[in-house]
Amino acid sequence: MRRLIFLVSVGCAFGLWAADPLPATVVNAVDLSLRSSARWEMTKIVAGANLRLASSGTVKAAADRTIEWKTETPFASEVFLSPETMKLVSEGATNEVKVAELPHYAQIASIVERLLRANDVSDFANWKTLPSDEGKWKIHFTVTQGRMARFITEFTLAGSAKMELVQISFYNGDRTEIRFAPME
Amino acid sequence: MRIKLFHLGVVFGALLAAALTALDILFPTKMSTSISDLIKRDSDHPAAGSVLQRNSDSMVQVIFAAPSIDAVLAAMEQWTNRLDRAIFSDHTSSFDFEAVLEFYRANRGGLVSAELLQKTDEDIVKNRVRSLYSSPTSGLFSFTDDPFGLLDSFVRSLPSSYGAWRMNGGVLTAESDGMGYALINLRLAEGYAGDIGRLPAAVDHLFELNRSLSSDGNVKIYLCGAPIHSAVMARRTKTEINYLSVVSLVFVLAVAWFALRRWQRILFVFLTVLTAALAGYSALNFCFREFHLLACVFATTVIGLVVDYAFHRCLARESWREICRSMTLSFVTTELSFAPLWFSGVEILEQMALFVGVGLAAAFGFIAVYGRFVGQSETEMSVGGVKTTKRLCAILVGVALILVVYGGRKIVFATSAADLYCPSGELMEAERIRSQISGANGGEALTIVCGASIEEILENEEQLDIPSSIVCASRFFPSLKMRAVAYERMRTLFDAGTNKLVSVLGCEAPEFPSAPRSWDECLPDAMRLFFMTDNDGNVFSMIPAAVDIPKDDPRYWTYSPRREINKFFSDMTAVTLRLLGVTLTVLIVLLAVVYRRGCWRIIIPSLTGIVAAFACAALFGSSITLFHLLAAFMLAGMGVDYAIFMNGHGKAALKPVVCSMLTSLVGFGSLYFVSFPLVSSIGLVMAVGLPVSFATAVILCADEKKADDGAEIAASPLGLEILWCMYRLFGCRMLRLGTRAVTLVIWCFSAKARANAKTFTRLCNFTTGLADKLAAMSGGADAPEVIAHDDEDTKKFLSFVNDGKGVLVISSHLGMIEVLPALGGCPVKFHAFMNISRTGAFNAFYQRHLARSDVELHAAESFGMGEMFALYDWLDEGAVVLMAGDRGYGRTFEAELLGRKVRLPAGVFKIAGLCEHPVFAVVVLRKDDGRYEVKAKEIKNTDEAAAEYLAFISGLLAKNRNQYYNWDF
Repeated sequence: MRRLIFLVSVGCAFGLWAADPLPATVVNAVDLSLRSSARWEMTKIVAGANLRLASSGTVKAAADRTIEWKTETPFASEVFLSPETMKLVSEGATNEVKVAELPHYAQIASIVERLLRANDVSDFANWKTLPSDEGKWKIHFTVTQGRMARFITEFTLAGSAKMELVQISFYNGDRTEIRFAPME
Repeated sequence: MRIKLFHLGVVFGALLAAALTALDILFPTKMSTSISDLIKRDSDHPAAGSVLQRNSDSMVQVIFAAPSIDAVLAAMEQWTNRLDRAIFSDHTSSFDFEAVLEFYRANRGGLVSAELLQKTDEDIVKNRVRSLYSSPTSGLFSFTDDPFGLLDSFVRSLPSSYGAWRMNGGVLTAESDGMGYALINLRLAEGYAGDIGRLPAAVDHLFELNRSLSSDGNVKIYLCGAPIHSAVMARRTKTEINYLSVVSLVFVLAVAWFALRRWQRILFVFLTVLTAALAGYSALNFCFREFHLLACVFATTVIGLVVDYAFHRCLARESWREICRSMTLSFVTTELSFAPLWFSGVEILEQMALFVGVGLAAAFGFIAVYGRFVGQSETEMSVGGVKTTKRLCAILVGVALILVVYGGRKIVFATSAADLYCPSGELMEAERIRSQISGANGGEALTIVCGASIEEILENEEQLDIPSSIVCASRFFPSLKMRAVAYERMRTLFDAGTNKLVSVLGCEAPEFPSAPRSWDECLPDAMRLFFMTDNDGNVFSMIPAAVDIPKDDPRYWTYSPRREINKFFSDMTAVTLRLLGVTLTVLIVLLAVVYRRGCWRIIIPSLTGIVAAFACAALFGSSITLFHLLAAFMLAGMGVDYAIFMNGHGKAALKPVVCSMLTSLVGFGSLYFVSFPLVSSIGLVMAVGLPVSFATAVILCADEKKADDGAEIAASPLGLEILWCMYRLFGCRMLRLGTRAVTLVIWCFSAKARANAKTFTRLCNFTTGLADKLAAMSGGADAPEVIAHDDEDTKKFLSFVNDGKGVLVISSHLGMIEVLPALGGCPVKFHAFMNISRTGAFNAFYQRHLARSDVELHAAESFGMGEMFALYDWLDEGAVVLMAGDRGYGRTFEAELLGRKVRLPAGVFKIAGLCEHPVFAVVVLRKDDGRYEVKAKEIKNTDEAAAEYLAFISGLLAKNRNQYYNWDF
């Protein structure tokens, strides 16, 4: 009986720990990344088709929460993302849509927002820190329920002073890995 | 012995309750509670009820409000995570979103956005490749399921707004006045919707969630929809009625103990009420497959009448036989007052009438059978004198009249359902926000599209010009015809684009989707949100806005639930108002038959109570609703009841009536304090109407001592005029038929008539004689046949009459002397002295109509010297003068008739000795064949006129008791 009580107590303690706010280093790194520029290299694995699509480009984030996402290879295109709209420019043609109508973008924006506020995310995801090199951090989120689970099942963030790696697993089986590097 | 018999009654009550309860369990009946249940059988369109029910009964809208959309969404997620999904299913958040995506994936053939269809194959392929490479996110579907992003484009093209609500990650959100809102539509699980027993607990769960999440003050959560209103009102009304019931019960018990003093009598009252309630409820169970809760709520008012009867039975100091007449009359009038509801054609009104009718009949039967076991009251009442009570009542009626004067002008009848129900501030605020943001999609007006199948409905919908902001079935489920066109376009794309896609991406050739199927075959139940089936099996879809539809096209119709509900209540109010008019008319006619001119005293208390109650409601700013009118039926019955008892029993009825009024007043008047307007309106009518009716009844009907001078039963002038018209139009036979019908009613409802006449035959002979008298004295053509008896004295009498010798006839109340003028060949004038004060109505009638006949009536009461000289003159002129000799008025002397002491008028026999003209005792008797026969006996020795007269009368009276109409004898 005492063992049972001990196990339950430990379980509760872990539960309380899991509900702690995100580490400040993570929050600060995300915040800093969203106010600076970087080069990115993206690898996208398309489920079912055995495709591995690689692309690269730059990203410029501003304090007003606008993001300029430029693809350079394998072809050129630009995406201007604000909290309200997303504008796609490719081969001179422009296509603008509202973020609210793009569920996946809206979800990512929401996640980022929650991360920035260092909020308790336990209502939609469990998170744990993973081992990493000295001065670096890596944190893994498993989306458990709610609207976010419709699109994203899990994601990982890693970095040091800034965010360096984002890995996202989507509900349809696709996976995306984006590595950020300082602008030269 | 009495106690044992009373126990028998208790056992009877218990057995009745057990039997009826068992029947209720064996044959359960559904009790409906919502407004749509009322409408479904009475709407213009057979599907209207289904639409309304589908649209309101089980749907709950939850609106989250916070300073930002993100805060709203966060709160909404926490809220939905804690939602009990065994009670509520979700239609707009994540619970079924995955199922929708999976459904589309399985049926992707032909599902492409119209925008994408217009692009070239090359553009589609190019955009898809670029999107795959440059976007860090993925589509809604896997590459193998949706290689060209066609299905993704279709899902994104679905209506993303609902009024001002916009689809935000599968959730409807809106921004207004600097606040963010999110909306979730919940559906109640089977078994909760419409079940007033389970619904409050389900809704409490939602309120509990709200409390737990809105404690920080930033987030406000509103609940809308019919189930919320039903549950909140049911809970609140139940609580209030529980409190009021305790107060009422204590008061009623106190009154009952004060008045009855014995527990057996209190138990008797309780058993009477129980019998009424069980019988009424059982009748509803057996006659209706489904009945409405409102019928039961209203029908509880029958308790007021039943308690009244029980009090009268327990407190009567007279025998059951003596109070039976008043109670029977009250019972009949009440049943008749509710009878018109039977013919209303509105089911709920029929249910109310059935409950009250059967409940009252059962209670009456119970009182009649078991009432004798409670015995008669031995104590004198102590509610004060009639005069004091009358003074107090006069003050009350005066106040009521002031109410009527000031409020009467403001009486307005409600035409909108909003007048029947006013929700609490929080619920109103929730509905306001929902309506404000939902706009055209708020369900104020609907367009219904009919069809033989789902595919046909979709095709019919696609023919309409529906704005893109309106959510409708065909947008989510394009018809097979539309998908077939798109499917062919997909085929060309796959043919042309597959190679390019394969070469650029290095993937395998994607699989071409299978051909689209009819939604009738593959649409799962969960996806049939837009489609519904009415009671006749017709399928239709519902567009939540009024759109342009072809005129007179049976495939389309527009529908407004609010308008439909308003129309229903407006129609029902009009029907009920008419029925109330019919009820009051029926009551007046019935009471006129029984009370004649006195009927106004009986009906006026009810009318005063009703008008005062309506005026009071108007002063309080309320419109007169259906439920005020329904309570007026009850008030009509109770007002008449008070008046009948006060009129029939005077002071003796005061205590039972006061007790009954007080218990009803507290029991039903307290309902005024219930916040549910429907119940409150019944309470107001009863709280104001009952005391006013009672006070008016006391003023008009209560006497210190009921007058009972043994006068003949008077007739109402109106009734006699009706009989006269019948006679003039249809002749004497029809006249007799009419009088016999009246006789039957009088026999049933007039204890005095029964007591005087002793036998029905005697009363019937009397009234038939009245008809014949009317015909004979009027000198009409269809007068009854009168023949002379074959004896010497009669022949002599006739010869004297015909010869104009002037004959004094000492008549009697044996037979009908008034038909004498109808004897063939009577050329002379008749002068009849009658006691006009005792038969005022008849004589006034004769005075009006007999001017053209040869009969003149004179008042015997005012017989003086002038009349004496006139009498001699008439005799000298050869006329016949009639004076009754068998009933005393003026100076009288005692004589013996068939062994009984009677008082005879001395003056008549004195005149007989002095008049110097032939004097005859004459009787006109009705024979079995309907003819009348004149028998005369000459009074030869006028000094012994009385003795000869009595001898003649006695001989005939012994054989013709049923034709003797001297009620004093």
